[in-house]
Amino acid sequence: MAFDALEDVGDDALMVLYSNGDIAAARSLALRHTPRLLAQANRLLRDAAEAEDVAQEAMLRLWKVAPDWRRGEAKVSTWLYRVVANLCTDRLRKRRGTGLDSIAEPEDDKPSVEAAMQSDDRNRALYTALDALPERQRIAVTLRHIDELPNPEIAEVMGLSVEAVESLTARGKRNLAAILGGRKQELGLE
Amino acid sequence: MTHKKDTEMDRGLDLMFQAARDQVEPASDRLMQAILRDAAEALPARDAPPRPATPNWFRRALTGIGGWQSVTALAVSACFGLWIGYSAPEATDLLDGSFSLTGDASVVDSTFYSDIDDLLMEG
Repeated sequence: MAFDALEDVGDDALMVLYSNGDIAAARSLALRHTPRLLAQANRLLRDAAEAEDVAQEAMLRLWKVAPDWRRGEAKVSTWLYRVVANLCTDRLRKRRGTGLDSIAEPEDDKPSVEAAMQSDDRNRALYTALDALPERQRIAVTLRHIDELPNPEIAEVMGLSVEAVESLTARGKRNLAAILGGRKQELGLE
Repeated sequence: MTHKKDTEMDRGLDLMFQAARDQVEPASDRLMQAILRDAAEALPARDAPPRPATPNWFRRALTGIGGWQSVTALAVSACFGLWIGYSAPEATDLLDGSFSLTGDASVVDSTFYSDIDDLLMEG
């Protein structure tokens, strides 16, 4: 599944090829973008099954929009990031709307916030801290510091100005520092 | 002192972000197959012939009067009518061949209206 015969072909050209019925172009687009989408969805949702659903749905939307895709107007990667961010936001909002009684008890191997902060697992601690951030800060920080997107691209993904993104990421990072600050030693950050 | 703490925390956060970046799990074969199945299923809808563009007013009017054939017939008829109008005949034989008009109106008057004159004179 890893070999990509169209590795050197740009995303826009692949979209045209796919629209013309070339399934190999779809395969190439899927190989190129799915891992990043999956990682992005995983970071935001912290649920592997839901993240897979989101990645599949985002790619399905890409297939559907392919005939109308306008070359050079938007980057495929940015468009997909935006779709994933929106799908994840919808799911997170639904989760919040779920009544307390219907929330499953945490499994033993899933640490609570306190347990995560006490563990030496930096990733768990980071994601737990990210979960504590307001939604837009979490998305902005994730896209900026983990997905390493430039601010103008994040602005496009989130439908905000570049200045608003800069403000969100700065506040988000400050809040993360405040949440994780007391645990530097146990996380091995000193 | 505060600045030093901030720098330390920034470095710590950078380490954590790096750890998160490094933790990228590949997409499973099952997911990739599902995505490619979706791609294949989304294709047939596009095999249909492209929808024609909305006809403009000229094309709609053309269709309304019967297409290019009608326009051609209309143009030929119009030209023929113009030609008839501009080329005044020297003489036009009537169907029974009994006389002809030569452009002299007195001939017409004396031929067609003589009986009427008689009637009028009789009072």
